[in-house]
Amino acid sequence: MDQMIKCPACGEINSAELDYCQKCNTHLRQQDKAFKPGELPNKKNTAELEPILPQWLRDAREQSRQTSQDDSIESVRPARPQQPSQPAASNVDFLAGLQSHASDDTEDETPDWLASITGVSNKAKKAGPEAADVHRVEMGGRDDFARDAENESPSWLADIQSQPKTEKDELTDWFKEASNQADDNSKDWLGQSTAGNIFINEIDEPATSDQAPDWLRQMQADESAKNNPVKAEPSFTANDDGPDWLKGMQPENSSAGEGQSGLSNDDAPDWLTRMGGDQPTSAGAADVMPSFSSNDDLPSWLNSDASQEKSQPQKSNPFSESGVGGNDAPFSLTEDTPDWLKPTPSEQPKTPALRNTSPLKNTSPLWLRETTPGGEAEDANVPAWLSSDAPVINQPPAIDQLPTPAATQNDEAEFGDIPSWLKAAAPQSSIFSEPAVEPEPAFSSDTPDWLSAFKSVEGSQPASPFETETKNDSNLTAPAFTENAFDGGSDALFTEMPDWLSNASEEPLANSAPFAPVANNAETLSAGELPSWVQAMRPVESSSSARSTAASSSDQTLESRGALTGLTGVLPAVPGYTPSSKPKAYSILLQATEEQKSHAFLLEQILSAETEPQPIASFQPLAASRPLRWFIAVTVLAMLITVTALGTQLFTLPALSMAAPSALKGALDVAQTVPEGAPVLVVVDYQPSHAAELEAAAAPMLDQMDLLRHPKLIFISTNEMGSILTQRLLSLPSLKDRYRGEGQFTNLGYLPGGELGIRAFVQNPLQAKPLDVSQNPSQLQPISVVQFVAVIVLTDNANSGRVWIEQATAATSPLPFPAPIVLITSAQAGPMIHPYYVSGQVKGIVNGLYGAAIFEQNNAGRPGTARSYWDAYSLGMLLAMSMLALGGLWNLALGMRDRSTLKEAK
Amino acid sequence: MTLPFDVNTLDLFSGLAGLIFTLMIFSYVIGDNFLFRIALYIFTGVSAGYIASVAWWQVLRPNLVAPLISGSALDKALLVFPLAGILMILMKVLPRLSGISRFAMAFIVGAGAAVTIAGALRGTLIPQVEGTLNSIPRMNTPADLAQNFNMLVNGVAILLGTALTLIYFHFGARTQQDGSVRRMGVIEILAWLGRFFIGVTLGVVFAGVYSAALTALIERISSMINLFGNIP
Repeated sequence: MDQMIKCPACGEINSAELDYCQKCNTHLRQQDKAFKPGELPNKKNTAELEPILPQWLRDAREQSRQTSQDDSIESVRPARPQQPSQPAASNVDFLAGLQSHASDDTEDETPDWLASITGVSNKAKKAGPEAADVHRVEMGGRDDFARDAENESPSWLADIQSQPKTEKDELTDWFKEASNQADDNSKDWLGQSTAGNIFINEIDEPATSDQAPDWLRQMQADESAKNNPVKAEPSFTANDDGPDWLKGMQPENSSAGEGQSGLSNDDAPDWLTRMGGDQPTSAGAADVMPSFSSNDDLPSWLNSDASQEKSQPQKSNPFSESGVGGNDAPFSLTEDTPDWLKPTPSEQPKTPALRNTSPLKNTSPLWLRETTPGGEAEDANVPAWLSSDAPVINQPPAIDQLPTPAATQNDEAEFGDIPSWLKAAAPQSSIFSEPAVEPEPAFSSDTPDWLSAFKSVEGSQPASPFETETKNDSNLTAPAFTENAFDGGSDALFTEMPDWLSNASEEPLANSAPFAPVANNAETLSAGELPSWVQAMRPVESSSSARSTAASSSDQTLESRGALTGLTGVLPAVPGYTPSSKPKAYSILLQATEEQKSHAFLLEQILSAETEPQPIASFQPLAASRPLRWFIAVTVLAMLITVTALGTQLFTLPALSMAAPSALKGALDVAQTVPEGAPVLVVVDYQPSHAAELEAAAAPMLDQMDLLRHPKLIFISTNEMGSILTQRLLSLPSLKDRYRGEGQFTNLGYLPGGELGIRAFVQNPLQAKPLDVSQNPSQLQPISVVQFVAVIVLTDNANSGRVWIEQATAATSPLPFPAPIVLITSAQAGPMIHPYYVSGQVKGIVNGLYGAAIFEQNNAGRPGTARSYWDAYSLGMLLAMSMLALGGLWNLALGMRDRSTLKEAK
Repeated sequence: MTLPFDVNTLDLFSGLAGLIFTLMIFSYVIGDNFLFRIALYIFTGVSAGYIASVAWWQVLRPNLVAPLISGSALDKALLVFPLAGILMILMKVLPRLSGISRFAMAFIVGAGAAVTIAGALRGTLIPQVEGTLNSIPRMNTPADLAQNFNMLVNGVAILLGTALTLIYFHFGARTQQDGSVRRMGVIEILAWLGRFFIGVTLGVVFAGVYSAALTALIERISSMINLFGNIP
């Protein structure tokens, strides 16, 4: 079988090399793309399948396209008003193709199997416009269902007719499986079959409209002549026009008024033959129906016949109005009824009630509706070939007798037996929500064998889904296969769509309860057995989960390791990749040579040494430092006190010789050359701690100046202590006698502002310091500092002297400051001020006690402070130098000792 | 104002006070002690008091208060700016308003910086460069050389000292082959010479500090001796 492929459409076994079926030209590879249960169907454009359609269907479709342009004309057709409320295409879209086909094309393109049945040859095609919905149905969309149905139905029926025994299509197989697995399904089928019969019975007038083929109309005419005169139209009964097996059925049906089905026809398929063979023993309808409904091999639409027959056992004409009136008339003409199910205009006068009936809420084809105990519907749009049983209906049901659809309340329950794939295929809102139609038994004594088999099986399984309904009816004793019934039944046999198509059985919930769940049936179906057209009919609105399920179903690898253990299809399998061998194991241990290890060890040592804390060598304090300090202090103090107390003059004053600093000479020159009585600015900018030194250095110069030139000294200070230091300076013994009176000197006091104050004072002394320390007018001139003949700066800080030098120089820049600047500085500031002397900015410098001592020697022999301090000063300097020398020598000795010790140690 | 005692008595008490405080300061030779601290606090307090009195008597009163009281309208108007500056600086007392003092401080610092820079350029930098360049006298004849030899040596010393000192503070260096960073060899030698001049200068400064301190010590000793000598 690996080399063979079974055609999904006709069941033909084809070679695997073929892409299309040799018989039906169906694409054989569709199985590869077949949908599986739970899989999200792909929306197909079944127009692509058109090439595989039978020729008669393709012609019909082509014809429908051509006639689609005549929609406007079609709207004014006289027959259209007689088709009230043409059902929306959405309700019967999957049958629209059939409608169009039945209306006109089928007359020309009547399949052979039908031709062989009816014996009516094809007639010329009628040039009648089609309904608009038919055109829309064939243009695509949901109409694809109709196309598929058109494509599949003939083959199925053709198989039944032509090769009933040998050939087995997939549908037949499915039927058999379904019947073998669950009897409930057969009941369902019976119910549907009954519904189909009822539907046909409810048709007041046969569908012998223009849309019906001639052979059917001929059949109807014969039937009308043969049947009960109540019938308005001859039904499709056993007559000459019918096939032999049908003819055989009708006599039996008519003769077997007790309901026995004598239908036996060699042309019928086996399953039909078996049904017919099993039937004969049933004497009455009550006996027939159970056996009928229990037949597993029967399609539901045949079972529906049986149930319908059961529901009207006592009626001589099961399709009479009386028989179907009241609660037995579930059918009604509605707007939604397809045209082919509605009566033709010629038949309308015979069905006034139906014409006047308001459209019931039927949106599905009537033949798909399921019977309900109390209602029937009538539809005049039944195709002609299907409406041949219409004449058996004696009276149309009154509108008030038309049952209200009751089966819509239990749609789900009613379809419990329907396979899910058929549920999805059929638009439930239009099909399954319709009121059930009470079936009419249509079996007669002429029932072929396959119909007899129905009955025989029925007898063994009386649990028909419609049994409850039929038993409630008082006319249940009517034979199942009366002639009339068979007429209707035979019509139903051919007009009723099989269960797998219609799936319209809307049986009560109670009846469907004992049946197996739908899922069971669906599960029993293998995806590969679904015909292509069924696949296309599957609802598009399937959940995306189905798609994911389908995607994951392709790879069902079960993960046995890791976090995905237990999951299937998680990791996509890579084709062609299969571990050929066990992965090689690698050691995680470091493989290093001895040399590498030694290097690593050294590196580790280096790194560890870097991180280890290193002790910091601390200086050991000198043990003799404190005694040494005490020794030095005591030595200096003792010597100084001694020398000072003794008042010795052991050390001579430095003479003004060649060795004397030139800066001192400049200061002396300034002191000796200042104009007489000229104002001399004396800046007192030193701290009290240096008062002794500066007083000792300034006193000789001031004494000499006063002695020689009697200048007017104007004291000012940028230090807060300057004013009191000025008072202290002038209180020196050498000066206190000369600078006592007012007018001999001016103490301006403190000059605030630091460098800014100096700058302001240099530019305008009077504005900067209008008052002296006694709050008297300063008597300064409103001119620059050049008004002073000399500027003498007494400072212990090089910066203080520098500021005065800079601001005085800057005040007259670029010209040099005209007045000589003499700095009397402390010994610690002299070296820092000396560059200003070198640069010529400072005229002279008196540096400390040394400068004072030199200056005193040139002061005409007047005693001064420098001399009194000089011995102590000299001794102290000598002592300091001595200690420095001794300290240096001591340090040298220690160094030599350490070196010798180090050498000895080495 | 007449003192209840004569000048000599005043000098005696002042001399005694000076002696006591001098000894207290000298006590620092044995380390930080109570006497040293007492003397230090007394000097600090007296100095602060004296500075405050000087600021009032010599700055605020004659320059701000007196003109506001008895000055002309122009003087008073001109005093608005210093008065506003004073108030701004006083805002430093209040942390929330201390930011206001930034305006006055900015003015003071800005003006001071300007005056300092100008004075430094005109009074120090340029004159010092000229003085250094002129430190070497002109010598046209050998007689001039003999006459100005000392000046020549002094000038060369000044020039070398200045140049070598500047070279010492030259820190431009290059990476050597061994990875160390060193200055050029010539720069290193000149820097070493410059370090010599710096050492000599610091020695001279230290000598001057010692000389100044020694003079102060001698004055204190002399004052004490004179005090005791004057004690009848």
